[in-house]
Amino acid sequence: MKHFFRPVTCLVMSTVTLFAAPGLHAQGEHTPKIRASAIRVEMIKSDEIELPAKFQVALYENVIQQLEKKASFLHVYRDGDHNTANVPDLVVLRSTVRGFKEGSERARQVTTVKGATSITVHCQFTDNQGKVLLERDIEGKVRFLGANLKATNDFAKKAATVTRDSFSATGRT
Amino acid sequence: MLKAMGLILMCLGTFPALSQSRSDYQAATITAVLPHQPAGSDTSAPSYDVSLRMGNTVYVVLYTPPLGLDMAMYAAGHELLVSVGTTTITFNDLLGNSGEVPIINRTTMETRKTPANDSPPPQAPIKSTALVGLAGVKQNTVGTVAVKGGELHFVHSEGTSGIAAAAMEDVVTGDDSQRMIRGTLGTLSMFGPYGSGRALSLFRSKIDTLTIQYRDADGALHGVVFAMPVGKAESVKQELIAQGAHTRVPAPRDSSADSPHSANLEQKP
Repeated sequence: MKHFFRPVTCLVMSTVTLFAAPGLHAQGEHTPKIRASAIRVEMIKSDEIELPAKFQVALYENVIQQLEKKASFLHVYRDGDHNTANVPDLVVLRSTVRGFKEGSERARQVTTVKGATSITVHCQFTDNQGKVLLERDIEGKVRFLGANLKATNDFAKKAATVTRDSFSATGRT
Repeated sequence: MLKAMGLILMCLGTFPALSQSRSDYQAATITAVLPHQPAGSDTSAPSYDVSLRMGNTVYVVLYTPPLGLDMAMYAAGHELLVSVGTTTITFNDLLGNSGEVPIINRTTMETRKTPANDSPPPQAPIKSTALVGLAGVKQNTVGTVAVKGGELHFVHSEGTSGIAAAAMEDVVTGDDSQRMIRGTLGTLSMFGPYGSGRALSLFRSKIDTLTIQYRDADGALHGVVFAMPVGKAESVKQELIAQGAHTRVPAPRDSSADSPHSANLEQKP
């Protein structure tokens, strides 16, 4: 019986090591998080891409909602909020729509493979002085179930995850 | 017999003429009383320019009070019965005394529509869904939208939310469609046998969307998206604009637009 478990244990341990090693290695490569006390989310811009107003507003509102839920900032401020004037370590999130393809919920449900909606947004995190701290292109999609606006929620979740992974709140453990 | 009949007919004929003289009298309101400035240096008898309003017409008459009864200065706001002639107005005072005064001026006032008259009558609450953005309300909450008292009210099962029309920076309408069978049942129906779920997905209903951007007291920008029955969003938008909301797309696009999809969809400038 002992002879049976020994190779199995070795196999399990080597498998675990095989899968865990890249993760541990990647963790070591992580850049330190940028410290900031609050974030201000600017209204989504779509200068080059014609984006329906409902998508623009849904992107903006969902990002704020997800940042409040996921990110570790003390405050999430909205575009134009006067209270941000004297906030130290404020991060400003400026988002510009780079790509938009409005699919069809009907096509998705009937064919499963067609009718996906996707939005690509360029997110730029800057400090108060306008110095760029982080830039990412984040894509929101809805492939199978749900209305087209669900793509904005997908984008918001990804944007909040990027923010959480890149920033840590000052004054918060 | 014929003479008697003729006499009776003559009496009846004069009756309407007698009664008509009383019906010429109409109620008028004294709107202003000003001392009359005589052209010459004769200031012995004080007289007044009295403004009388009858309907849309204002008459200015010259009134010279009888000696010892100089109460004209205090008559503004009073009503009296007058009969308007071509150059004079005959009036009856409170004591029943009749008098006649010359008309100096006659002005017809234009009827002005107040902004309240221009605005459409308030609508009944419209069943709608707050898709996203309404503060304190979960996404896809069903309720009713009504515009009254300069505010948009969204009434739902857990309370009421209001947005002041004056705070709205942009109100945009759009169109969309949704499944007729939605929610959990709609999701379960996707797994129906022999592709029946997919067939059910073909049945969709058109809806309007109403997107609002507004600022709160701190200047912070908020956005709300409502879904409502087709044809309702534009009327809500017009009502909001009438009550002080702003929009970047003031008029709906002509229905003869390029594509059927864009017929009701306003594009951002």
